Amino acid sequence: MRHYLYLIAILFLMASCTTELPKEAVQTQEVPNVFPDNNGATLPPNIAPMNLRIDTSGEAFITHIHTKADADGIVVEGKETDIDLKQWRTLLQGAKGDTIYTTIFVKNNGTWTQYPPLKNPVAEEEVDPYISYRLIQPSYVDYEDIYICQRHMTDFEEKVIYDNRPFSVDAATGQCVNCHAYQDYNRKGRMQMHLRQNQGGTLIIDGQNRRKINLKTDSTLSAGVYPAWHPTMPLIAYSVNSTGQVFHTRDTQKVEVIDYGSDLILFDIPSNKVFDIDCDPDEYETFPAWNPDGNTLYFCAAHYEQQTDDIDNELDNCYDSLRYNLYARPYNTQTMKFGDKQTVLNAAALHKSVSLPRISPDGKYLLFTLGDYGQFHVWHHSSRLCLMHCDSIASDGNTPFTQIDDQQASYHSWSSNGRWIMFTSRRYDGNYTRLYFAYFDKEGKMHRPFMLPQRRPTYNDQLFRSYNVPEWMVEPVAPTKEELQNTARTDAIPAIYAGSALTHPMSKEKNRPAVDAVSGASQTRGNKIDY
Amino acid sequence: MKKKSSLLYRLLPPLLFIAFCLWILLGLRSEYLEEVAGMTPFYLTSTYTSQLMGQGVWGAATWCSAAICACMTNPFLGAALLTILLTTLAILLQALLRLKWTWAPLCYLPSLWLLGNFTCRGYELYTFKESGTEFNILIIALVAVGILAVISHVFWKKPKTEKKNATKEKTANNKGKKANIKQKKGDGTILGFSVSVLIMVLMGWYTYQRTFKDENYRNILRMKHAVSQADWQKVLDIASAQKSDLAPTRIQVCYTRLALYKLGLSGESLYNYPDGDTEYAAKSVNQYLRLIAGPQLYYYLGKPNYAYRWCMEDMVEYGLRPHYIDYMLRCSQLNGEEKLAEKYARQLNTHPFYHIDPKQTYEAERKAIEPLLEYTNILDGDGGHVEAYLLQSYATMQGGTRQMVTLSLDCALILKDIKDFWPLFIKMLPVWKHENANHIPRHYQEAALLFATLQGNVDLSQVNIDPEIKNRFDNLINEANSNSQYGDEYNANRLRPLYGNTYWFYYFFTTGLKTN
Repeated sequence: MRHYLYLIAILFLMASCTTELPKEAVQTQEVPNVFPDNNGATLPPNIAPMNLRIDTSGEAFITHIHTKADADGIVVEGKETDIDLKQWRTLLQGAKGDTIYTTIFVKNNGTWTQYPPLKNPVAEEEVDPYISYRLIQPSYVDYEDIYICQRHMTDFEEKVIYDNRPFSVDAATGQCVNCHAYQDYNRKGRMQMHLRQNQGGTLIIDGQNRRKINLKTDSTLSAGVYPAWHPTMPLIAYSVNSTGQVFHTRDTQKVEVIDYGSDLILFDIPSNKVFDIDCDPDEYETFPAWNPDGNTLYFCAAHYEQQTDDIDNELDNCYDSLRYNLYARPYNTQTMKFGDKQTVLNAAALHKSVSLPRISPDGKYLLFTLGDYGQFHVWHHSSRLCLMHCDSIASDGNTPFTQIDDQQASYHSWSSNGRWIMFTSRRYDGNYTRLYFAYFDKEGKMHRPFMLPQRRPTYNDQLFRSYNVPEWMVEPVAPTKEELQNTARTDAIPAIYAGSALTHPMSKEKNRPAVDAVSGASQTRGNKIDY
Repeated sequence: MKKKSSLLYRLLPPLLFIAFCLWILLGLRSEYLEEVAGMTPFYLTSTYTSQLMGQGVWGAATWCSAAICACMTNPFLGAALLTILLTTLAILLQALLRLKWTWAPLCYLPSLWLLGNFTCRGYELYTFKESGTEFNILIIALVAVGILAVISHVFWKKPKTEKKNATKEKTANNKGKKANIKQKKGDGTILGFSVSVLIMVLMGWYTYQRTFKDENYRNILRMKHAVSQADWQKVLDIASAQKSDLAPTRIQVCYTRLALYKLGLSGESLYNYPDGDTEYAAKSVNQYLRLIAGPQLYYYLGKPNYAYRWCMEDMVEYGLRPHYIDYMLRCSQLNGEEKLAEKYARQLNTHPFYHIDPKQTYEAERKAIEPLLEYTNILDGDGGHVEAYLLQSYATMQGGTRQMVTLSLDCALILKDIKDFWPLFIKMLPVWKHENANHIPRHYQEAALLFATLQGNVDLSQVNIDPEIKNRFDNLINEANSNSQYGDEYNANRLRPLYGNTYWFYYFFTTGLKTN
C-alpha cells in the first residue's frame, strides 16, 4: 500500500512540475536562429500554435511566449517547442490587435542567455478554418503517390481527401490527380478535381451528387486543365492545354513546363456541355479566373505564330521569349456569352510574363505572379507576387501594378474575408514549395508572411514533398476519400461540345498535338508527358 | 566422453548455420549488403518514424527491418546482425516446439529459407517499391515465436507422463543404470540427428543454389562503390580482373570509361579494356544502367541536373533511399544550391551510418567536376538513355574547357564520329604540344591515321605520329587487304591478338552494341 502512495505522490509531483523561466540570464542582442523564421509575421487570431525549433547549440532551451497583457504566458522547454493548444488559443484570443512576444533562453556551460524577443502582431481578422493542398514530390514525370489533403487551420489536423495509390499500380497504370478547386470556398460543397491516365476524368462534386466527366471532346484541345468555378452559377471555365516538360541542362530551375498549345473552354455542369471561349491557334490562353461578381473572366495568354510543323522544337528553342499578358472578357450571365477581349496588362512589353490572376473577394484587387517568361512560375526563380487595383485597370494594357513581395512565389489565393493571402514558395530551400500566409491589411499592404505551422516544427524541413494548389475553404470536403475513389472508378460521362460561348465566335483552325481522349494527357515527345 | 559428444551435437547445428550464413553473406554477397544499405531508407527522424509507426505492426516491423538493412552499410556488422537474428529464430523455434537436440537442425530450415529469400535477389533491388521490408517476416516471426515460446514455458506445464519418465531416468541414473538407458536412447537419436542434419544441409545447398551469384553484377557493385568514393584506380583494377571469357555489361563499360577519363588515361588505354553489352541477369527488362549508374555517370561527367533529375524520379518511385539523397546533395552542391544541399545533408546525417559535412565532404570531387560545367544551358531530354545521351551531347559539343574538349574527343571516338573528331583533335594539338612534350595519346593518333585514310584528303604531315603506330597501322591495312575475301568474324578473331587494343579494331569490329 505504501508503495502505491509513493507512486501517487511521485505522479502528483511530476504533474505539478511546470517549467520556470531562468532566474538569471545574460542578455544578448543577437537575433535567435529559429526554424521556421516567422519573426515579424502578422498572425491570425485563430491559427494553430506556432511551434519552432531553436537552431542554436546549447544544453537546455526555454521558450517564453507572452503578451503585454499576459506576461506569464506560455513557457515551453526543449529545442523544439510543442505548445499546448488550449494555452495557445487563450493567449492568441487575448492578443487580437496586439503583439505576441517569443523570448528564447539557451543554456550553455551552466549560463542562460536570453535573446531579444521575436515579435508577431496578431490581426483582428481570422483565417478560413480549412485549406486544402496537394502533397507531391517535386518530380518531373513520375508520380507514385499523390495526396490531396485538407488541413484544419486552428490545429494540426490533416485529413487525406484523395490519394491515388489504389490507382497507381505500376508505371503503365499510374494515376495523376490535380487541380482541385471549389466554388465559393466550398460553402455549398461544390468541388472539382482531375484524374489523369488510369481511370482518367474530372470529378464534379455537388453536395452528395458526384460524377466523373470526360471533358475532352473532338472539337477541343484536351480535357479541362486549370479550372475556375463561376462564383454563383454552375459553370467552370477551364484552360485546355497541350503541356510538356523539358529539362534544363545547366539552369537550376531544372525543368520547364511548356504549353505547346492552349485554349479556354466553359463547362456548363447541368447540361454537361462544353463551349469554346478562346481558341485562337496563335494565342496560348491559360489560367482563367472569375471576378467575384461573375461578370468578368480574367486569363493569361501569350502570342506565338507557329513557323514550322514542329511546334515542340520551336518553343523549346524560344521558351524564354514566350511571355504571357493578362486579359479579360466580360461575361453576360443572362445570355451566357462572353464579350470582346480586353488587354489588362501588356506584360510582354515589359519583358515580363503574367500567371495565375486571382481577384480579391471584395473585387478590389487582382493578385498575380510576374516572372521573366512562361506561365508555370512554380519553377521560375524570377516569379514575384504582384498586385493591381481593379478600379485602375487601363484599357490600353498599361495597368499600374506593384510587386508586393521580394522572394520567389507561385500559386496564391485569397481567404474568404480577403484579409489573408496564402501562397506557395520555394524560398526556404529552393526546391520544395512550402505554404506561406500573409496578412493583407485594409490599406492594401501585404505583411511579412509566416510558414504553415506544424505540430513538429522540423516537419517542414524533413518533408520531401511540395505543397501544390493551396485553396481556402470555409467548409470541409464532405465526401470521404473512399467515396471519391469509388466515383473515380466509375466510367467518365462524355461532355458534349456545343460551339462557342463568345458573342462573336472566332475561327479555330488548328494544327496541334494529339491528346489522349479520356485522360486528357498529352504526350508531345518521348520524354515529355502530362503533369 | 558422452557429455562431450552430446554438447557437440547441440552445438553443431548452430555452428554450421552461422558459418554457412556468414559465408553466403560475406563471401558471396558482401557488395550486395552494402548496396541494400544504400537503397534502404532509414532515418532517425520523427517524420520517418511516425510515418512508419502509423502503419501499425507492419510499419514497426519495417522500421526494424530497415534498421538491419542500414547496418549493412558495414557488411560485417550487417551480416553478423542478420546471422544472430536468424540463429535466434531457430533457437526460439526449438524452445517453442520443445524439440530435443536430435531434431534441432530442423529448426534452422525457416531461417535458411529466409536467408535464401534475401540472397536470391539481385537487380530486383532497384525496382523494389517496398524498400526496407526485406526482413519484415523475420522480425514478425521472431516476435511471434519469441512470445509463444515464453507463453508456452510459463503456462504450459510438462505432462505427467513426461515428468514420470524424467523421474524414472533420474532414479535409474542413481541406481547405476545410466549407461544402459543412454545407450538405448542414443542409438535412436544419432540416427535422427543424422537425418535432420542431412535435411539441414540439403536446405543449405538449396539456399546456395538460390543465391544470386552473377559475376557481372558483383563487379558492377564493386565498381559502383569505388566510383562513389572517386577511387578510379580501383574501378580499373576491377575491370582488369574481369574474367576474359565474360563480356562486361554496359554499366561496367561506362564505369571503366569514366575511370579512365578521370585518370587522364582514356587517350592511351580506352581500348585496352573489354567492351561488351552482356544482358543483365535480371528477371525483367529495365533501364538498369540508368537505375544503377545513371546519377553517378551524370554527376561525375558534369551533368548535375540530369543526375538530380533521375534521383528525384526514382525517389518518387522507390522511396527516400540514402543513395538518391547522397547524390542529390552532391548535385545541389555542384549547382551552388547551398540551402538545398544543407537540407539533404541534415536528412542524411539522421541515418546512423552517414556523417556528412555539406561544405567539406565532397569539396575535392566538386572541384574536379567544375571544369566540366562550362556549357550553355539548353532544354533537352535523355529519355532514360544515359550512355547514348552523354556520348551524343559531348561528341557534338564544341569548345569549353580542356577537360570538356578531351571528353568530347573521347565521345566522338566512341561514336566513330569523324566529322566532330577533327575540330576537337585540332583544338587539342597545341595542348599536347605544350603539356605532353608533343606526344599525342595513342588512341587519338590511331583515330587520326584511320580517319585520314578513310577520308583520303587529310594531310597529317604536321601531326606528330609515332612511327611505331604508323607501321602498325600500315601492317593492319596490308593484312586487311590480303584477307578482304573473308568475313568480319574471321578477321576479327585473327586480328584481335595483334590489334584488339587499338581504336582500329574497335572501329571495324565493335559494332551493334546496345547502349543501355
